[in-house]
Amino acid sequence: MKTLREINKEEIQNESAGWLNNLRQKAYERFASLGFPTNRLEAWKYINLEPILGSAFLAEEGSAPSLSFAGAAGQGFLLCDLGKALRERETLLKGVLGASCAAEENPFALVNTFSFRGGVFVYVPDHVTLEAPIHLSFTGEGREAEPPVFYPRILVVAGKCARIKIIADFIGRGQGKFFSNAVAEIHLGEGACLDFLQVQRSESDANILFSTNRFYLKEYASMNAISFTQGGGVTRNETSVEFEGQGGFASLKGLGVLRGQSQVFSHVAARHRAPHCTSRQFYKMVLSGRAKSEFNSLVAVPKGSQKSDSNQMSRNLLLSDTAEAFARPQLRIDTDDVQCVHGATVGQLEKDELFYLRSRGFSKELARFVMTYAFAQEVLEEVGEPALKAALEKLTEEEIRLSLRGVTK
Amino acid sequence: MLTIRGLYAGINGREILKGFQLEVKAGEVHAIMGPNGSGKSTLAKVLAGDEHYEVKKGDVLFQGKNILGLEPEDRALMGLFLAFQYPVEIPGVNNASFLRMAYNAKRVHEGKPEVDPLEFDEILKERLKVVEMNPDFKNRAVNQGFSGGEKKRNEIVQMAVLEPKLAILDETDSGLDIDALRIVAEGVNRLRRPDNAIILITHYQRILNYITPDFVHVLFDGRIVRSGGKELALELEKKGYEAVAAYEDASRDK
Repeated sequence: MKTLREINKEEIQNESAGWLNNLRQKAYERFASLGFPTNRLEAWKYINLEPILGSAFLAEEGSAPSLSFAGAAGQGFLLCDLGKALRERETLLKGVLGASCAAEENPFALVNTFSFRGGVFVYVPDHVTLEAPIHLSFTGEGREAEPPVFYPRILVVAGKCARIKIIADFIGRGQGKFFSNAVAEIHLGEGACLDFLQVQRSESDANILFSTNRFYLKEYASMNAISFTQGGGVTRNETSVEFEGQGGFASLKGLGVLRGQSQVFSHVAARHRAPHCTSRQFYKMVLSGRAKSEFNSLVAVPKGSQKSDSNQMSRNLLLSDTAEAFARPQLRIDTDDVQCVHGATVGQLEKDELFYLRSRGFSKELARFVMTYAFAQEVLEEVGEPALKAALEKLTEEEIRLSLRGVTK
Repeated sequence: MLTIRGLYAGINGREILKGFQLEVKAGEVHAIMGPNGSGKSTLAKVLAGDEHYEVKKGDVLFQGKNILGLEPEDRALMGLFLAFQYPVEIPGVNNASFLRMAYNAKRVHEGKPEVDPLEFDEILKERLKVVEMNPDFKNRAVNQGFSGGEKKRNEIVQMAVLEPKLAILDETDSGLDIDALRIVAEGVNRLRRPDNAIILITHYQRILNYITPDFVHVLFDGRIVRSGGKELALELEKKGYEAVAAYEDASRDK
C-alpha cells in the first residue's frame, strides 16, 4: 500500500463524462506541479504533516454521507448524492464543480478533486426559500490497521435570492485513525442568503479532519458561517470567501475547545474582488493541556474595490501554560477608501474577574467555568436552530469542564 | 461581629496598613474616612481576601473566626460582602444568572435547596426595588456597559440579594450624582438590620448625610488616628484630614 505522499496518477477516478475526467486530470496536474506542502510555507508552518503524508490510508468506496432534510421538497430543489447528480443532472454541475481548480492553492483540496468518489449535491433554484435546514452528516470510523481516508465533496448551488440553511456535521468515531479530506464549494447567486454551520466532533486524537470550504458570492449575496470544533486530533479548516459582485456580506465565525494534544488550524480568507462588500471574521479558541491553535487570516482588497469593510478578530483563552495559540491576521489592500480592522488577543482568565465572582461566593472552579463558558458561548449565540444550539452548548460545557479539570483524553 | 487587631498589610512589598484596629458589633454602622493613600481600599480588599495583598501580621476575627487564611468565597459564604469601589465587568455573563448563582451558592452553603430561574426571578423583582433598578439590567452582562451609577447600584442589588452579615462599602458614593447617591444610600438604609453591620469607607462626608453612622474613624497612614461619633465627620470636612491627624499625633506625643 502506498503512503499518501506516494499518491500518483493511478488514484485519479475515471468517469464516463469527459468533462469530469478532464477536471480530474487538470486537478492532478496542478497537484503534481504544487506537490505536498512543507513547513517552510507560511500556510503550513505549524502543522506536522508527517503522520498524514507518511501513512498508508485505504480509500473508502463512497464516503457514504447521510443526508436529511426535514422540510417539504419540491419547487425544483435538489438534495442528492453527488454521484447520482453527476449521472442524472449533469448540466447543473458541469462548469460549476471544481470551477476554480486551476487557481486552487491547497494541494489537499486538489487531491480531493481527483480522488472523491461521492458526496452531496444541493441545488436551490431562484427565489426558493428553504425554512428547514439541510443536514449533511459525514461519519468516519477509525481503524488501527489500514486506516481509512475519506474525500467528502459538497457542491451547493443556490440561485438568485434563494435562502438556505446547511449543517455539515463531520463525526469521527472510534479510537483508531482516519483521515477526512473534505471540500465544499458553495455558490450563492445574486441576493442569495446562506446560514452554514460546520461541526467537527471527534472521539479520538488519532483523527485527522481537513476541510476546504470555498464560498462564491454574487452581488448582494450574504452568508453567516459558524465553525465548531470539538478538538480531537488534528483539524485544519481552510475557508475562503470570494466576493464576485458588489454589496456582498460574509460573517465567518469559529469556536474550538481544545484539550490534550488537540490541534486546530484555521485559515480564513476574504477576497473583496468587488466594491461595497463586508466581511467579518471572528474566531475564538479555548485551549488547555498541550493544545495548539492557529488563526491565519487574510483580507484582500484589490484595486477598484472601494468601500470594502472588513474585520478580522482572533481571541484565544489559554487555560494552561503549555497550550499555544498563534494568530496572524493579514491585510492586503490596494484601494483607498476602505475600512479594515483587525486584532488578536491571547490571554488567560482575568484575575480581577475571578476575584469578583469569588467574592460573591462562587467557588474557584465555578468562577473559572462561568468565565470560560461565557468566553466561548458568544460564538454559539447566533446558531439559529434551537435543538442544535442546545446540543453544541452542552458539548461546549462538557469540554470546558474536562479542560478545567485537566482531562487530556 | 468583626474584630481587627494589629493588622499590617500591603501590596507589592509596600506596607500600607500599619497596626490597624477596629471592633464592629452587630447593628452598627462604622464610617472609615481618610485621604487618598491612607489604606482605605487596602483594608477593603484584605478583608475580602484579594490575593494581590499580603498580610504581614495581625488578626481579623469575623464571627469569632480568624478569616485571614480563608479563600474569598469562604468569607463570602460566611456573610462578608464587599461592595467594590470599581465593580468588575464580566463579559458574557448574564446579570440575572450571576445573581442567581451567587444566591444559590449561599443557599447550598446553608443546606437549602437551590432555586430555579423562575423562583429567583420573583426574589430578584423584590430586591431590585431596593435601589430602584430598571428590570432591564437583568438581561445585560454583569456591569458591562453600565454607567458608573448603575455599577454602584448593582453592588447594592447584590447586597440585597445576598443579605450579608457584614457589608463593606468601598467608596460606594464616589462618582455618584446627587440623585444616585440618595437612591444608593436609601437602599443601604433599607438593608440595615439589628443583626447585621456595615463598614462605610468614604472620602467625603456627603454620604453620611443620608446614612447616619454610629462611629466615625479617621484613617491616616495605615491606622486609625481618631474615632468619634457622627460629628467627627463634620469636623473633618471643616478642618481637613491633615489637621485632624496632626492634632491627634500632637496629643499622643504629650
